[in-house]
Amino acid sequence: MKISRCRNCDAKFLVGRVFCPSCKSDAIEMIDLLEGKVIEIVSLVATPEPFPDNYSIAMIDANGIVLFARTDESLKKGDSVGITEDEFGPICNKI
Amino acid sequence: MSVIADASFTRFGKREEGLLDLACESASPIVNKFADDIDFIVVSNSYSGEYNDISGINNLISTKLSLDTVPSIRVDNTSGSGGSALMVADSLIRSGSASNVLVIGAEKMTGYPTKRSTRIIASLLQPEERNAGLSLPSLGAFMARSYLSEFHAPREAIAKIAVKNHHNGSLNPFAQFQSEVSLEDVMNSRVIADPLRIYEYCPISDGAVSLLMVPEESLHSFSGKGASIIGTGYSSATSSLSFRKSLTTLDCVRKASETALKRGGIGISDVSVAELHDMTSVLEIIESEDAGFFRKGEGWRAAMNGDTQIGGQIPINTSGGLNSKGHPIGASGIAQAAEIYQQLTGTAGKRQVEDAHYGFSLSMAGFGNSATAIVYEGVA
Ligand SMILES: [Zn+2]
Repeated sequence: MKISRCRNCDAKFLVGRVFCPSCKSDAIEMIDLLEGKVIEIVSLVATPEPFPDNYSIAMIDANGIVLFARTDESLKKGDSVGITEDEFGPICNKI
Repeated sequence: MSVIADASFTRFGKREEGLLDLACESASPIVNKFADDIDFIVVSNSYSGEYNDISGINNLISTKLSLDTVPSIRVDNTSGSGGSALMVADSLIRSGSASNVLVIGAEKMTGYPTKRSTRIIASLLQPEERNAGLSLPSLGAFMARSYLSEFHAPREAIAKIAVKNHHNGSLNPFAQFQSEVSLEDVMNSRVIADPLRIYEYCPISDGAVSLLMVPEESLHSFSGKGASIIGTGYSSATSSLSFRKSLTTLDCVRKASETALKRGGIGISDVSVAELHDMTSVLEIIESEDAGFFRKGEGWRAAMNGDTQIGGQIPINTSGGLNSKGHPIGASGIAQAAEIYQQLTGTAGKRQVEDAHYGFSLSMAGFGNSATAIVYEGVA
């Protein structure tokens, strides 16, 4: 999946912004983020439209960037995961 | 200073009436008495477009109340709409722009499948986080997991909040749920987002509440007694969850509470009764710490010891909270103020906290995107 990176100060962040939250530069580029480690995992029973009825969401630490991704695997804290995207958004699998 | 001089509720729950009728049902007793005095209407509502196919709701309501020419606005700040609306009404009065403000909080959310409702509420998340399939209930679960592991709290401490709030709701004639639940009931109820269970989440609700707010110096020409707003604090935090440093503290709650207490000139230990934003059980514990009632990591002990029940050291959510009273989103922050009004004027019935003099309410938007804290003093 893609995240934002500031070309001026190298700050990386998930939610797209017009200005860098650290140095206020507007030189923001998109970079690939491919893997991380599971910090916390929550399985959902009541899910929002248009998502499937059952899945878990992993909170992932990817070199200091925190992000969220769906998974159908039973992951544990500390598992290393690869992050890709499907038709809804980010999804992760154990690697 | 502005004072809440009157309050009026509809029953919360699954209601047959439409949104406009609910809003008018709550406002009518106040308009009946004070129609000629009302010179501004503030409507707290967040989702009339999404749920009810209605926009410009403030003007639709004012006409139905035959207050057609009274100026009005709608305040939308998701779950924190009520706190924001109170801040607006208080500012209008303190600046002299208005004298007697009718504040109406109203929402109608039932009628859609839960999956649709969950989608509507999740629309307040940033797209990069929302598209991972997050819902507001799932964020409560992340928070509960973090809290339990960081502070070595027993799981039951969180469930105790639901037991207490259902008990309080059973004493509130306007609450959606008016029956008690035991700790076993909560712990055996259906999991919604692991580890949190259905009794630990607020339901989907319809309902409305209205308040009359007036300048303190003219309180004698209205009800003669009320809840004076002596301090307000407003604070925003990042809406990006991935950008937050901790899941077990809510910066906006901490800052808003600090400001409100400072402006009110009182300490948190002076507060006799508090309403917090318990969309899910664990939020009440975390907010009770961030507001300053307990040290960080100690709120769960207070919940276990019963310190926050009616008769305890600091009764929290005497109304039943969002958890049991229900959470018609735009109405919730106004209902908090209405509960404090009843407590400080000695009209809270079976829920009455003895000698309640100072009150505190915390209305929160998003999942900690912003918060309005208000400190009240009973006046007569
Ligand atoms: Zn930068």
